[in-house]
Amino acid sequence: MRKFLFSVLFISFSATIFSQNTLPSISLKNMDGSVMNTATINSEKPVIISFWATWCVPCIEELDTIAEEYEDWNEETGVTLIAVSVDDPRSQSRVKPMVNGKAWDYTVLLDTKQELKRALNVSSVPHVFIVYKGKIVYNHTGYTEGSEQILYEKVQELVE
Amino acid sequence: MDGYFFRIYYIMRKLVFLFALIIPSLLFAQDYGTLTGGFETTIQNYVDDEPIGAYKPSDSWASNSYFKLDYQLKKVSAGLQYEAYLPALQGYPETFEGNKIANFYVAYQDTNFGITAGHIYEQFGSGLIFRTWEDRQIGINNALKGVSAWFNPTDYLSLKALYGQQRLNLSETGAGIVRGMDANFDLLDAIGLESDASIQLGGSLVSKYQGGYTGPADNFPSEVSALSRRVAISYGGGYLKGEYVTKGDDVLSNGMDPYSDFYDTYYKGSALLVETGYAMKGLGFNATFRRMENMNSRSDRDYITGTNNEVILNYLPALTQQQDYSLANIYVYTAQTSYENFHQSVGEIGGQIDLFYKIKKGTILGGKYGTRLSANFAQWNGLKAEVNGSVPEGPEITTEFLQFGDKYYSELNFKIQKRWNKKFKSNLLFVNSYYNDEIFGTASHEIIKSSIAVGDFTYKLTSKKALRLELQHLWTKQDKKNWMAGTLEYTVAPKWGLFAADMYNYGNDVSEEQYHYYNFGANFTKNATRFAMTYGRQRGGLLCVGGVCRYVPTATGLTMTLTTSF
Repeated sequence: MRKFLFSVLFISFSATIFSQNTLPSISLKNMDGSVMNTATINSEKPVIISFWATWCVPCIEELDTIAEEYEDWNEETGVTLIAVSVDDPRSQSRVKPMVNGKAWDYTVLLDTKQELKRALNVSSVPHVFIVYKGKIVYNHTGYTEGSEQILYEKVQELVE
Repeated sequence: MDGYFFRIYYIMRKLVFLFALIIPSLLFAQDYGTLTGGFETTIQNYVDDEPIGAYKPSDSWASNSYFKLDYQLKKVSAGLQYEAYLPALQGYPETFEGNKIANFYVAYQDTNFGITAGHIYEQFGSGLIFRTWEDRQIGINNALKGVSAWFNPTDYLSLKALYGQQRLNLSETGAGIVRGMDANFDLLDAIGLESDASIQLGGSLVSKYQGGYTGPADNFPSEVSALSRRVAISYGGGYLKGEYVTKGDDVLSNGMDPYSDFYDTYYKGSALLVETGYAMKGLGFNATFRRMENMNSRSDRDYITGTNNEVILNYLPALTQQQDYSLANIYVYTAQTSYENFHQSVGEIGGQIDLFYKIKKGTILGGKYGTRLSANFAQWNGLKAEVNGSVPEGPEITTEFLQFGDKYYSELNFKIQKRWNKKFKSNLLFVNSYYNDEIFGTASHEIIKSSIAVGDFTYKLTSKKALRLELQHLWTKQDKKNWMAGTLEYTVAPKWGLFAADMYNYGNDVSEEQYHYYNFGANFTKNATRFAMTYGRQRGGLLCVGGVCRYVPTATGLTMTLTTSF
C-alpha cells in the first residue's frame, strides 16, 4: 500500500515538472470551413477555451450563462472565448444553427476528430481552459451553477 | 478490495519503470519538451438485488482504467495508452480483459507535412467511408495500427494516405489490411477568386483486403473498395453539403453466419448524405437527408456478425437528436445500416430538421433575458425493397432509390429555455415519438408511441450554491406503460455536488415489475480532477453513443469514478 502511494506521488511529481503549459499545434476548422491552428491563438489578453457539444446540457448552460455577461467580461478584461465543439458527424450539422440560434458571439472551432480533446486529455465535457500569454494557466472540468463566476475571477486576477 | 489495490500497485510499478526510462532521456535534450497525460478509472462493486434481476458476479468488484501519456518535443511527439480491465465492468465485451500498453504512436508534424506511425485515429469526410475512434463508455477502440501521412502541397489542396490493420483487442489486430487515400480541394481559392462564398470538393478511396478464403466461389470479394465524393458550398449564412459513397461487393453482415450460404452472396453498398441550412444571429436552421444500403463495413470478415463493435471501419450514427434526460433514452433509434434477414428489411431512408431561435430581450415573450427555442423533427423508414428469399445462394435484393418503405421511427421535440431572473431559470422539453419495435426488437415487439415532458429548474441560493430539480414523465399505452422520474441536485461551485434521483415505472401492468431505479451520489472536482461516487440501480438496456451501442445489464451497486489530466 505504501509503495502504491509512493508510485502515485512519484507520477504526480513528474507530472508537475513537465505538465502541459502551452497549447498543442492542431489545425481545426471553424464553422465557415476555414482552418485555424490552435498554436497561433493570440493570448496577449486572456482566452477561455471551452470544450462543449450540442447534446451536452451542462455545456450549453455554461455557454448560455457566460453569453449573458460576455460583453461585460470582454470590455473589463479583454477576455475572449473559443468554444471548441467535440460533436462528431452525428450532431455536427447542429453546431452552426445552434450557435446562431442562441446568438452566441464566441469563436467556434470544430474538433470533429477529437484531436484537440485528446491532446489536452479532456475526458468529458464541459471542460474549460484559460490561456494567457501563451500559457495554460487554469483548467476545470464540469460545470456547476456559479462556477462561471470563479472562472471570471481567475481571468480578473490575470489582468490585474 | 486488497486484491484490487494490489493489481493497481502492480500496474503502477510497471509505469514507474517506464518513467524511469523516459526521464533520463529527457535530461540529455536541451529543450525537455512537455509530458502530458490523463488517468481515468471506474470501479464498480455489484450487490445482489433480486427484485430487479440484478445479481452479484463471482468477483463483485470490477474496474476499467486508462492511463495515457503524451510527450512532445518540437515537431516530434510520441505517446502511449495503458489499459486495465480487472475485470471489465459488466456489459463490456469479454475481449476487454487483462492489462497492457494497448496503444502507442510516434509522430512528426511540420507546417505542411506530417507522418504518424502507431495507432491512428482518423476520419475521411463525414466518416461514412472511414473513421477510427475511441469511446470508453461504449467500449470501442478501432484505431488503425499502421502508418498515416498528410501533405498540403498548396493552400487549397490537402492530401492524406494511410495503411494498416485495425485494433481488435488489447493485443491483436483484425486480419484485414486497410488502405485509404483522401483529398480535399478548395475550388475558389484555387482559381484565386476573392469571395465570401466557398466551394470545397473532396474524395476518398478506402480498400480492405483479407486473404485466406478457400471456398468454391471464384468471385469471392477478398478485396472490397469504397469510394466517396463530396461537395460543400457555403455563401453568407447558407450552406449545402453532399456526400455519396459506394462500396463494392462485400459479404453480408447483420444476423448472418459468415460460414453459411449467405457467405457466397455479396452485396454492394451505398450511402447518400445531404445537409443544408441557414444561420443568422438569433436564428438557425438545418435539414439532413440520408439514404443507406448495406453500408456496414468491418475490416475482418470473421467479425461481420460480431455484436461487440469489433473492427468497425466506418461511422454510421443514428441521425436523431441525442437527449440527456433519462426517460428520453428508453426508446432510442439505432441506424439501420444493412439488409437484415429476419425482417427482410434493407437499410434506411429519412432525415431530420432542426430549428433554433432566440426571442430577443425586452420583448413580451423574451422578457429581460431573452427566450431560447429549439425544435427537432426526425423520421426514418426502411428502403422500399423486394427481397426474393428463394434463391439458394441467398436472397436477391432490389431496392428503389428514393421511395420509403416501412416506418421505423419518428420523433418531434421542442425545447424552451428561459431565465426568469438572477436566481431562477427553467428548461422545458416535450418529446413525441414513434418506435417500431417490430424492427428493433429491444422491448415488446410492437409499435410504441410515447410522449415525454421534462421540466428542469435551477434556483440559485447564493452566488455559488444552487438547487436543481428535474421532473420527467413518459406516457405510453404500449410496452411497460407510464414512467416518471425526478432528480434533486445541490451544488456548491466549483467543487461539490450531491444528488438523488429516481426513475419509477409506476404504470407497469405487472405490479411486481413497477421498479424504482434510484441513484444517489456525490462528486468532487478540483481543476482537472474529478471524483464521483454513486450508489444505486442501473436499468438494463442499450447504451448508444453515435452509431455504436453497448448492452448495459441491469445492475445494482456502488460506482466510483476518478478522472484527471496533467
